Amino acid sequence: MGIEERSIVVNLGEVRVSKDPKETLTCLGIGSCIAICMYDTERGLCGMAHVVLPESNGTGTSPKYADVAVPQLIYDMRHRGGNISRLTAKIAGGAQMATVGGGGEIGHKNTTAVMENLTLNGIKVISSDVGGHRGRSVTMPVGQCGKVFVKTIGEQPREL
Amino acid sequence: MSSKTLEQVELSDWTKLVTKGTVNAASGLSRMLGREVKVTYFNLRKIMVSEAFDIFGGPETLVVGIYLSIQEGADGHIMLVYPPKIACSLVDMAMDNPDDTTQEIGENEESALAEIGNIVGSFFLNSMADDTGIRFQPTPPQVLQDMAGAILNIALTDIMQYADDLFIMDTTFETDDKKISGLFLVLPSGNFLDIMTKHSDEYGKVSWE
Repeated sequence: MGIEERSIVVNLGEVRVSKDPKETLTCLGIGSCIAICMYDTERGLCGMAHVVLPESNGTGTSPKYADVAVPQLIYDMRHRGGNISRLTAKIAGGAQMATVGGGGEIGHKNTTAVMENLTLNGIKVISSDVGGHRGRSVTMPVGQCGKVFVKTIGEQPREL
Repeated sequence: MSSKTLEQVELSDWTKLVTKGTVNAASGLSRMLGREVKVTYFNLRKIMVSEAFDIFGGPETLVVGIYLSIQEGADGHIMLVYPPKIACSLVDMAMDNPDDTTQEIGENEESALAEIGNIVGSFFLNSMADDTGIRFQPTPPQVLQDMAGAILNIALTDIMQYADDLFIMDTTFETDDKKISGLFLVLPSGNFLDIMTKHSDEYGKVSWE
């Protein structure tokens, strides 16, 4: 990345939107979490959400929950000029990191919840890299709006 | 699910319990390794969840984690997390190898680390059982080599259901000639603290020396 380029880390439970072609949105070291990457290529607009848990059960307002993150990301994208009919998504994550204990299913639950909420809000998911047992880092260079890259330990980033 | 946090349970009680448990875990390691293992550094502190990954230089940093889930008695997580070089050193200690023998973590090495996790977890929980009268049962350990964020996430997703911060313990175990510095995480879920509080209310304060 050049000196003028900036990496914007989207931490657990955060939503970030950008139109700055010098910025790259990124979720680092996600396991069972889901990185939702949404874009409107006509506007050069990109957005990313870092989902941790599937459902708020109506009790939470934090975008760490899929049912809060998806509507918030859509709202933020539209607020920055994104057109709902053009918004498209790619998702990555949802790994099962632990095979012991009761938390092993959370990755699958997050994936299901994210897909359901995107569908419910009329957003098409055109590609995904989910499941498995490895951590991922996900990057979305705003200057290459529409492109999403996924990396695992020991491997080169690949385009989703 | 209860919303009890470590603020609502007396922090000093928890600190005493985990300190004693950690010392007992070192005692277990001593028996396993056949040499004295001491806790030479112990720092219990509260951090935001988002800061947890910075301890290892960021969420993408490759680390080795030994994970156990607490399933009987109460819910919670135990995790030992080390940089790969330190984990290799731990394997050399366990296998009584000369220094720097282990260069990467394969199947045999994972097995040695799992056994360490088993000992540390069991001795820690036994200490807590002695003090609280509650019988805890950990799962078999799982050894992972992956990004720090992905490994820590196993426990953090549970914690984040009711809190955005957590207590971690920076711990150094030391023998005469080796220092093993890493992260020893004991993360109680909501019902763990409920059970401890209830037990304390019913049977009087937890007792310790």
